[in-house]
Amino acid sequence: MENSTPEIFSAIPLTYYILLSTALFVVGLIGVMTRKNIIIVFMCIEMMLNAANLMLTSTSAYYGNSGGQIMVFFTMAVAAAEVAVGLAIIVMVYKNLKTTHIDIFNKLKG
Amino acid sequence: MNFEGYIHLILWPTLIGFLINGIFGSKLSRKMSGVIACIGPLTGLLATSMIYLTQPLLEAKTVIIYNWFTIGLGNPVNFSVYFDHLTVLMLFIITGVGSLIHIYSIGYMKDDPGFSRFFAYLNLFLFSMILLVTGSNLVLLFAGWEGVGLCSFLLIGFWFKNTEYNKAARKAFVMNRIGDLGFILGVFLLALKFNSIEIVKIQESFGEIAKNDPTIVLITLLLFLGVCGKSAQIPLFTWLPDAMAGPTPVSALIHAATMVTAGIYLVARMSILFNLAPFTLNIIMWTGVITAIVSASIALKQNDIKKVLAYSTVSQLGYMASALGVAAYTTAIFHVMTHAFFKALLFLAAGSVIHGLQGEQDIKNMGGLKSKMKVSQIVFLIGTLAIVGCPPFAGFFSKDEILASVYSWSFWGFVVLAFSSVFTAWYMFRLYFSTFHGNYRGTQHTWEHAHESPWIILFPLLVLAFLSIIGGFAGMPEILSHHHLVKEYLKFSMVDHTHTVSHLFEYSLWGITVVALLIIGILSYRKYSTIKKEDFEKEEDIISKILANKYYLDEIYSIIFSRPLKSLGSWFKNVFERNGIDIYVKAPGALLNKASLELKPLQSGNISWYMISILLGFLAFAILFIFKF
Amino acid sequence: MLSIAILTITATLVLFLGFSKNRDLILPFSAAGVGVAALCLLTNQSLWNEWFMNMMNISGPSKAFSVLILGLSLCIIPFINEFRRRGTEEIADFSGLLIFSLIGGIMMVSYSDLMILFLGLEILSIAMYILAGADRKRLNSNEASLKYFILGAFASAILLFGIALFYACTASFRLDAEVLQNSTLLNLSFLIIFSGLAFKIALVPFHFWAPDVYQGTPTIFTATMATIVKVSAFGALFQFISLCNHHMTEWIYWLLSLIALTTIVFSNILALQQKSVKRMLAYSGISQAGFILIGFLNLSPEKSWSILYYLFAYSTASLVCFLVVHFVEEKSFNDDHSSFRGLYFNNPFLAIVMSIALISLGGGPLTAGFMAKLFVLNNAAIAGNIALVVFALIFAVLSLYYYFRLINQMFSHSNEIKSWSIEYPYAGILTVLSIGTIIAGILPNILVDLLK
Repeated sequence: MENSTPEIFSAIPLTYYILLSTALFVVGLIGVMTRKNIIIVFMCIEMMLNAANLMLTSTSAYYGNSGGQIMVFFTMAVAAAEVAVGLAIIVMVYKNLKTTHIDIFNKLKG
Repeated sequence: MNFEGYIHLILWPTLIGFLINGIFGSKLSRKMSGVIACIGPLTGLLATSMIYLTQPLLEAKTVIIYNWFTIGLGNPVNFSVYFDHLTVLMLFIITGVGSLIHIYSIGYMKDDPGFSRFFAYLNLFLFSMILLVTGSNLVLLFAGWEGVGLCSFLLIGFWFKNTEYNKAARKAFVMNRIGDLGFILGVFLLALKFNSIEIVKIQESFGEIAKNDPTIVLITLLLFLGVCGKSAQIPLFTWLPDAMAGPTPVSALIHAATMVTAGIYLVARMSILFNLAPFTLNIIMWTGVITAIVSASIALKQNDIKKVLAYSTVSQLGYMASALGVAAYTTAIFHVMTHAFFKALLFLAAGSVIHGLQGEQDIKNMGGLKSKMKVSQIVFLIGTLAIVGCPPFAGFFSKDEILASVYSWSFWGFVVLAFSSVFTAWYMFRLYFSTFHGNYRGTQHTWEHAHESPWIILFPLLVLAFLSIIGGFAGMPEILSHHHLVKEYLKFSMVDHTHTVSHLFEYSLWGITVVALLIIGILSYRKYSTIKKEDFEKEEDIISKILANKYYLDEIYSIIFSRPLKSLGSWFKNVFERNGIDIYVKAPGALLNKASLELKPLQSGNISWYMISILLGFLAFAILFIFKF
Repeated sequence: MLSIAILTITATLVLFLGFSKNRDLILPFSAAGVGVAALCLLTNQSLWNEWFMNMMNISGPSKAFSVLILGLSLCIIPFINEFRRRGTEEIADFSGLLIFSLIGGIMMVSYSDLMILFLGLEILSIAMYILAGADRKRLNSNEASLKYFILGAFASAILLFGIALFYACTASFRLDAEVLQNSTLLNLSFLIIFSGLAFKIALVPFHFWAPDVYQGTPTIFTATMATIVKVSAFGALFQFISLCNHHMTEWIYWLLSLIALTTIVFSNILALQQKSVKRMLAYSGISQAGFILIGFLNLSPEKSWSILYYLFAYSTASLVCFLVVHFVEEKSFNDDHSSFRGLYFNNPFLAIVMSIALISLGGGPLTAGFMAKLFVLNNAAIAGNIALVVFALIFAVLSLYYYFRLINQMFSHSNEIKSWSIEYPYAGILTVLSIGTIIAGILPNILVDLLK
């Protein structure tokens, strides 16, 4: 498999791939912690997942190893399941409380 | 039947009794519950006597019941029991006094709704106590140690529905936990140091250790902290008087005769270890001496019959500890034995009085009961004479031995102990006279209903009274007899230091004891057999009153005894116990509770904050990682 | 492998059974499926010899973890029927999801490839997010579900990022792979993966979700979270550390002892002042996790039994506690400390099994909990970590305070005595668990030999 990798992928240093996806991950991370709307927080989490996906695909291409890309398929399937469940939970909560503001949910504490 | 058979007969019947009463208790009749509960200690007593009679036990025997688990690098730990003379003697005390108190409880608790529950706890207690004294390794010892603590905790709270009980039980719990912490850490370090948890093996490896080795001192100090908790020594003693909230048989069995002496037993069992740490021994002696005097002086001020006895127990435990501190281990165990007799007797007699007066415990409302409760009065008198050390009752010999041993080690310790003997005599005579002599001070109604207890209650009292009279002859001093039975019996188990005092000292000690007791007896008879209820209430005014009466003796009393003693008592009670010790003992607990409340806002319920803290935690670890601390 | 197939089929069929009007069959069928799966595991029945190209490997410790997970779920499944008493009829969904989560759990404890870890974790978690919100009408349950979901997804994302980083360093998901890139990055990826797992285990400072979610979740599923999820996550951590032992520096043990210490100190202090018993048990679970983590110091495959023993002791006891809390909640509508007052007089059975469980959690002698603590701390002492052991001992004693406070409540008189009854099957399960706790304390060798 090593040979089938296009030149261009291995021409870029691995560090760049890692830095790019880490940057994307950090953007998601900051969003998760600062945004107040649950839907947006959720989107930021998806962004973090995608940052990981980006790292997987790019390094997979870099090494010419297909494992990372297979993993991405799994991740996307899992993310889809998570979205389905997550949105259902958010809808359930919205029905009861009529809000999706994150600070409402601090009744359980101490 | 062989040795192993007896061991099974000692160990298991109490556990079986606990299971039957605990699980099927509500379905059994009261009679059945009581009988089942009594079988345990009685078979134990029988089996112990058989061992005593048929087994010489010149060497300690370890009997493996089964392989329990394996620890460390392939060290098997067995569920095994360890028998030597000390074990047998302790078993006699536990099963003997235990049997009597079980019988007594059938009568005492007969109208209680929690009858079978009570007996279940009591049996579980005995099982744990037996485990404690027979366990051959520190893990079993610890199991027993915790078991008796749990039962004591459950039994203190047996009756109360309100917060008062919660306070008492919690206090007992917290103080015992502080002690247990010392105990656990001590045991852990011991196991670490000797790479074994079998008591025999640890004892064998003592040979090569120098005196006052720092580790040994630390271990012994930690173990002694455990002893302080369990045997109510300063500073962990205030739980014991509060523990009197439980039913009286419990106070007699657990908080006087057996459980509180577990600490004394522990030190005696580890005597070789403690002999290696003279520094710790000194601390033990002074702790014991101070405990003896402080609690004896507090007892002077108490008006609750059980509280007086409770403080007196603490004070007697102080005597035992001071005997341990001068490495007179057999003497301490001897006092454990006689104390078990007379203190159980006093508690049970007090219980009989309380029972006859429908739960009245305040001596302000008693008096003149000798006409109503002849038997209780006589046995209480015997108990009183035994505890104050009047020859030839049981307490005389053991206390005398302790005083002599301490004298040969430290003069000032002896002086303080002698003073607390005076206090002991004073509060005990006060208790006795104000309860049984003079006129009745309670309501007419209770007086009419006051009655002597039934025979099932009186029988154990008579047996204990008999033992309190003759128990001391097992350990007569050298000048009377060359056979100190207890010492001879225990010489294979413990290594005492020799304590020699001159015969002259011995005789003069006796003479002084008799004279002092006579004087105190007469004084307190004059004062308390005619005391009025108001006199209790205005204790402070009493001095002026006595002066007005112009009794020359009373005048002396007020100057020499009353004023200093009273003020000392109240000073100890208020300054020392309330403000001094309790604050320090409670401080760690209060600190933790405060920390708990302070930390709660961290758990704010806010999702964003949770995510931030996860990130912060991760970053902290990452930074630690990068800088490779 | 066969057992996973059986579980999948059972779960799917259970979901279909939910369409029928007769709901009495669902739970026996689920339990039977789980039971058969457990038997297959125990008797090494397998259809294929190779498991997804050796990405999974159920043998040795991971088999013990899996059996423990299945055994615990067998004890929980019958209690799902309790929802019908409250008028919630979707027990097929709950039961199906629970079984799906078991599949996730088994994958987590037997992976050797990080892909399986991630999938297992997600299968387990997604099912649990839904179960946490099983009580749709109750706001607490909603909040718990949402919190668990958001924080769980966040942790999964972190875990995935760690896996991606690992992949970037090794071009493989196998934990025993060769290292291609510099080791700092690799160690960082370990740290990130560890954080993700620590979240599931609820170790300080990744524990914040646990008390809140435990409190809000319907108690039966709290029991699931406290036992099955925790066992799975510990199984995953165990696999993780034992498989990439050779990559790790001494530093990881240093980190583990630091986290264990913070966890024990923090959780025990916070547990002191809790009014809600579920919250208290949550903190207690966190502190127990700290103790188990001590067992990971100087880990070797031969010593895995002490961790497993601890997990067994912890999960049986904590399962009993939560199930009893469930019954108390049913009768008095909250899980406050004061609701437990006089439980002994209302139902002696519940009070006794709960006391046994609490004593075991506190490490009282002659119970499984004592042995567990002894084994784990003994390991640490042999490894020379004396200071940690001393601290752990101090806080173990401290923890007795809040356990005994509850026991004290249960055995004090209350003003009103009600007679509560519980059905025999439930009582049977609780009895079995309690007897297991005691037997494992008195005759620990049986279990230890099994685990070895």
